[in-house]
Amino acid sequence: MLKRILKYLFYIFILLFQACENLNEPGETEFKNSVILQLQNGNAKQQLYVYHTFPISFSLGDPLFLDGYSNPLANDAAISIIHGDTVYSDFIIEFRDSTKRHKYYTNASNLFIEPNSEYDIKVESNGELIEGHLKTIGDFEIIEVNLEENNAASFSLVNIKWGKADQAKFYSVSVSYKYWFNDPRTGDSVKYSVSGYPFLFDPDTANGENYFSKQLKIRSNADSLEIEINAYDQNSYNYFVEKIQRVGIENAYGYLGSNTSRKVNLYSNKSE
Amino acid sequence: MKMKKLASYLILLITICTGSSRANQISVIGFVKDAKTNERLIGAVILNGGIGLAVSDSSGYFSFKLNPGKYFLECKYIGYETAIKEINLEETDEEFEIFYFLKPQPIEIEKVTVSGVRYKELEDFKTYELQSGDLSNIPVFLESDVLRAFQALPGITSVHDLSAQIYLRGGNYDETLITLDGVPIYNPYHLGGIFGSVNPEIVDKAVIYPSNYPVNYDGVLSGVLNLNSKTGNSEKIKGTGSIGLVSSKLYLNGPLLNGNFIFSARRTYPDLLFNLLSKSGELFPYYFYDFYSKYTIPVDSKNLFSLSAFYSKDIYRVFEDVKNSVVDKKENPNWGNLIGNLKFNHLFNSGEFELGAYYSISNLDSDAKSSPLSSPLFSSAADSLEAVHYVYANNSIKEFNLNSQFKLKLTGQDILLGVEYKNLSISYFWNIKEYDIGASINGNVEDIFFDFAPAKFKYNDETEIVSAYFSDKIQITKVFDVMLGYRGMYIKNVKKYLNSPYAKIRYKLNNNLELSSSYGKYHQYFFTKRELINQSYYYPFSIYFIADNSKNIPSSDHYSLGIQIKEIIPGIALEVEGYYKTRNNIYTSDELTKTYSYTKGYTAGVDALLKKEMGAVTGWASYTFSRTVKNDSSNKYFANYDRTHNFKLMLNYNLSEKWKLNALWLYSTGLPFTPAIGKYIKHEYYRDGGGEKLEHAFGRKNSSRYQDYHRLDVGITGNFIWWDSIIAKPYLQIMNVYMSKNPFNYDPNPNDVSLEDGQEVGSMIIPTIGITLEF
Repeated sequence: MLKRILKYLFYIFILLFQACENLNEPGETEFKNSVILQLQNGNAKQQLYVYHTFPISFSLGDPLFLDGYSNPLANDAAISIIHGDTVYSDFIIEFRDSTKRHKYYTNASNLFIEPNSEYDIKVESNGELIEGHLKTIGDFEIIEVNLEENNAASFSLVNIKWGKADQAKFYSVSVSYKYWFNDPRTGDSVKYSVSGYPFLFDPDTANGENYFSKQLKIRSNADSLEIEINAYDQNSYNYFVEKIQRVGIENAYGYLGSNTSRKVNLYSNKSE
Repeated sequence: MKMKKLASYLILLITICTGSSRANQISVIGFVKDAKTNERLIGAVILNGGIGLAVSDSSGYFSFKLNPGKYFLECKYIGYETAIKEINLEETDEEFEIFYFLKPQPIEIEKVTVSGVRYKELEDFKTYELQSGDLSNIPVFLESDVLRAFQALPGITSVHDLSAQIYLRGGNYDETLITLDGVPIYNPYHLGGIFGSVNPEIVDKAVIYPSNYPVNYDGVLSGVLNLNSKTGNSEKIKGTGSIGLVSSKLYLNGPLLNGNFIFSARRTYPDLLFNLLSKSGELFPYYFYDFYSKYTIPVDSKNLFSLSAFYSKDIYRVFEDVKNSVVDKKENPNWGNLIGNLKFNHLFNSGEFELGAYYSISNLDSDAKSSPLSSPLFSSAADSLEAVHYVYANNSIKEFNLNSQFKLKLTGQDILLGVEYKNLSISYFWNIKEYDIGASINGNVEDIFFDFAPAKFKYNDETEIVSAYFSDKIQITKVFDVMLGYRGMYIKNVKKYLNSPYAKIRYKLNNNLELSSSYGKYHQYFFTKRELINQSYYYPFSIYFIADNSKNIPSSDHYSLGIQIKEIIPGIALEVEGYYKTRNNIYTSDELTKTYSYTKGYTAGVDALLKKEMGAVTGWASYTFSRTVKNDSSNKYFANYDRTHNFKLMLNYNLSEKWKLNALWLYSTGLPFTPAIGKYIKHEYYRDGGGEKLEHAFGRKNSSRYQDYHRLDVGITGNFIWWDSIIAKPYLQIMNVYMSKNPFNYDPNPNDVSLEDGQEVGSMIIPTIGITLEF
């Protein structure tokens, strides 16, 4: 009887043979690089960042990021931006600041990104080829800027209206204030700048079919101010807002996105 | 050729069996009731000389056929005295009625019963079942809960201590259909999955089909859990009242007009107590309640109408504590279920006819907004759109169903025939700008609805499903029976016919040993798009989608092989069942790109259950080995809820006639997670601080596991009679007695520097105290 039971139990456990496989190996990181490129319409200087992926045991404060160590900030990348028959591969490395922690590649010569145009990128780094394709965002114009009378002493109201950009997923509006004053130590006239916090403008909340508008509260004590509107594409939205870790590129973390920018300057009466 | 021959024999056998039913056999019909309360009893067994003839159904009815002659028929039911009736069937009889009124046995603490122990030969499907008395014997978390109680049984797992969701033999939680009297309840949870929404007071018997399930159910890949409600007392009004730490419950049943009713209500009250005692003016933001009512009218001994309604609601008073803001609350976030169910049963010569209609709704609504009270300069974030929080949602899942079925009992055959029409509609619309809802729950939209759900979403869909089904259990010989079944469905929106065949053979080697094997194919056309994301442990409302592509409808083939030994050693029974399930078109998501796709995989496992039902110590020990693997084109990985080894020990000990101890110890493999094994640099937008930030680079999906999970819960329940008319049942339950540190989440910090970092553990000891009064 017992033998018979054991025999049947054995048959049942045979079902499990297929399930005995080891899937508990973390393996390696999916990609060896991260690449970040935001193509800016009309800008001659395009910045592209290439980083190597590095072990979990490092943190940003480690000496890893200083010269002399195995640097994850890739300086071995071969980069191409392709537009039709034209291939831009004249990129150089620049150091962002004196700490030499950050580096980027830039072409300061003739790479003007055109709106509504197709671009491909290729980056070879760390033994891997990263590729991406993008249609750039369309351009737009600022249509109107009106300063409203306001009794409040500390701020004024500005109504700003701008047109739509093709393929724009969101807009951001930011304000930079400039104050001119004389440095009592040197007697020189110097500029002090402060930036307003940008906010996202969701096209779905637009109040017109062909334009968007926003009323801004601005400081009334600045000597001048600059309002900047940026339009961003879907890829930028996915990367920055949706926090998707790979957008528009293959074989690397990061993203390939597009934006276009317009600015308007306002000057205070007191500076006259 | 051989197959042809075999088929011919099979047809011949069926014909013989069917033919023999035309002999002069007499239909015996009737029902089983509680002699004291007149409640109809579900699952009572009618036996002739120890051989099972029938089991009373959800209405208490039974029927079978016998040749003319004299019989002594026994009727047995747990907790009741066995009744024996002598009947004499004459050749001239066409039909014979017999009614059993069983007397409850003297008050004793109920035994925990797991289906399959007694009269297993009458059950056509592998099931585990819990009856109303069993719940008091299983340690609870704050509230006694039917769904959570099932987690103590083999093959059923949970993802963390607080979850009542059921993961059944390798299926995701949405792959188990949860029904109340056969009516599906979508999102059947209170408090985001912590409690089931059905008040356990109304449940007479809960049955789970862990693998192959009957053809009158459809639409899920794993199994079915049906909660059968009680029927009312026909003599006088009876009831129970319960007071616990979290809620109070009231259950009433009794005669009403020509029929009987049951009614239950439950409400949580921490909000009322907190608001009463709070000196700061702050309000407790959450409460839930539910109602159930059923009215049954036995028109005569052969016809029965019943009408029932279920309503549950969770309310979260969002933005109650948002400072310096203007709060505009048209409707607080609230979610719940509404069910209406109408049934008619007619008992006729050698069978039963059932006609039913139901409407089941699961919904979530909200329309609340908070804006800054004052608007500082634009340079402050308070004036940006980010400062305005709003939660607008209008989501609903609706199912309307018309169904009809015949149960025919012929000699050697039990036949079920049925048709069903179902209209399924979904409507989702939300716009949510809130990452810190009321400062109490920190959750993203995607955690609430489905993987990577956007903050703004609108979606509507609808389909109709027409089904026909039959099953036939054929007793080939005394020791060998076959069950064949088929369900055909037409899904209108994808214009697709789906076939679900089913077959089972069972062979009794002797009175102690039985072997069985079964096969079934299942489809799931209504599912969530959700894998367990590490951060997700709160599910107030899952979004279900109707399959929109005929090629992507998830399907599964179930194969099982089982052995049952009634007494492997005296007083102890053993059940072992091995299973293998193919899984096709299973949802899978990619966290890196926040996209989803459909993949294939399998589940393989063995459930073993040792049970002891007699003596001072009763309970069970179970072990499950199970592996659920998904296999997409580039990767093979464990499902997020896979627990390879699972051991459960449930014990009850009668301290005295008044007190009973219970204990549940769980030990299982830790859940899989995707480990962070590297880092890379990403850029952030201005509003998030801007600049370069570290982000984790992850290894292979689900290639690491949390440390093993284990927990001990203990409890003590009492049973006292007060003033000859009230039974008081006080209880004290303690969850996680030795404060086991069980990981429930993986959220690595950029400063973590090893694979082990980032596991969040819970180690709370949670006591529960309360009392139930039966009157």
